[in-house]
Amino acid sequence: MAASVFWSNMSEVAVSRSSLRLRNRSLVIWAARLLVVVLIVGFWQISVDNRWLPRISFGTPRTILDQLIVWLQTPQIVYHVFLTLLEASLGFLVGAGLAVLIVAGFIFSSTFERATMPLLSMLNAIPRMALGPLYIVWFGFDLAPKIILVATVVFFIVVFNLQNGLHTVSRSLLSNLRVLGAGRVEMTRYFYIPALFGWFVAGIRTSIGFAFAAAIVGEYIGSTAGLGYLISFGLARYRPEETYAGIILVLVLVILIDYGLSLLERRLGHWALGREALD
Amino acid sequence: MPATTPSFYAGLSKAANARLLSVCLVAVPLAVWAINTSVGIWQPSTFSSPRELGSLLFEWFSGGSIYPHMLQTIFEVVVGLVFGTVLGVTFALSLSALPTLYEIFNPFIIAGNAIPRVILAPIFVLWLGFGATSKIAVVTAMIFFPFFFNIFHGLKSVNADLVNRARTLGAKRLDLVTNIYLPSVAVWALASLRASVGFAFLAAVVAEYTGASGGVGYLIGFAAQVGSVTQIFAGICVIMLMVLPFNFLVSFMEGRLERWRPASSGRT
Repeated sequence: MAASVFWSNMSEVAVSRSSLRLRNRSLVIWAARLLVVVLIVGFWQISVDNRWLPRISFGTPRTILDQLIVWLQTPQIVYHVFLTLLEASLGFLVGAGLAVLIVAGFIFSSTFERATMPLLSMLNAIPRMALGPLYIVWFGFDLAPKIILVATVVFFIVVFNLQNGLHTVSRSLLSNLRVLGAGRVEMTRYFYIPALFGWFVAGIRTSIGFAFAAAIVGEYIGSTAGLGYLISFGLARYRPEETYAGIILVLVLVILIDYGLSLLERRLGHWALGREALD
Repeated sequence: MPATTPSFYAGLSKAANARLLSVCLVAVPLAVWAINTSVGIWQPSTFSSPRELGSLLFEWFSGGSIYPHMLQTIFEVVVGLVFGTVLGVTFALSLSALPTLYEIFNPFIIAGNAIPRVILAPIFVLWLGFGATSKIAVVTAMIFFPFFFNIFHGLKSVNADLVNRARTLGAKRLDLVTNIYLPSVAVWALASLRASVGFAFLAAVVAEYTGASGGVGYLIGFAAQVGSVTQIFAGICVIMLMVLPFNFLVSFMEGRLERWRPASSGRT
């Protein structure tokens, strides 16, 4: 399946082989995946042990594991994780909420949309995470600058996503509703909200990833707690295992959240699919 | 009286209305900023001021002190973009040629794509030091995934009818590669380049925040440490000045390529 026509023509052998002994094959593939991980971890440990790689910048898988175990036994780690999650989720709520308000304004006035979009596109040229230092100077080292940074990042993603969705709604359905005498409130209730909901759900996954990244970048720039603080503090005092362990925690969290969202997306997807059928 | 003279506002067309509102949305906040900072309601130390920002930018550009930093950041972005593109294209081509290998690496690629790559900056600083190399690595990591996915799916979506027809007409494998596959890869690569330029700058600047000895991100990070809002503003202006020509260049290239775009799935 993965091969294009071109490559399947080039390597017909691989394709015909893939149709054979499916169960054995998936076992072999899992074994190969495991082998890749074991090779990388083993090579890492051995090269640091033999001083081919400097311990000060690479740590070793073993010290990183020790660090993780130490962290997971102390209650403080819950506090750091909780702070980062709080920043990301509050910022997401603020940013997405503002974006929804603005797009609701677009529904009610196309003049407002035409006036606002050039400004938004212009502001879009600023790499938003680059605003971190500014927010730190303005709002200090606490939660506020991170929440605002996350909100800024999420706002733009959601606004452009919904605005895009607004322009792909079914024109014929819209005119039909208008002919049938639907007012603005009915149109919003029965048409725009269901139609844009699918777009919103599709945007949630991307924007939550960015929300997390923004919270952590904010913590890199200046903070006194949180996962990003643990990572950058480890870097600052030459304890690579803290940096690696912190990043591993972040990765585990991100992958868990992403997986949860993909489940949510599938559940909510039915809703959006019903909309497609309606179109 | 009111009945005979229509109001100025109502007399404008809808498009002109929007333009007026658009100008106001930019001009009013700027004016409020300029007035409040010059009268002294807002402290220039927290809000900077247009005059301070302008004079710092003038000093940077006329004195020439900003150019090495701009060059450093642009160097990181360009080299990272090149590495990311080359790696992305190579992986996409070889993994679509080797389906088994693709299946083995698939979970790693998906996990790598789910990770926000900017947060890996400290790791690259640990590995490669505070110089340009670690920033190039961050940009490369940032760019690799969109390129890989775009080109991988682009290759899959190359029109099978077109390929079959070309083959019927006697096209050799090399003809297929040069006339169908490479042009479509180029189109997909440019499409991802367009989305990637902003991310590349973001990655370079954020990586410079976490530890650097030069570059515009270093200037901004340093300004945050000494609390100079003017310098942060000026740094952000410089970033925008660098991003815009890149975006322009990419859309220009895309426009050129449109002319000989190969038939996509819609046309056979």
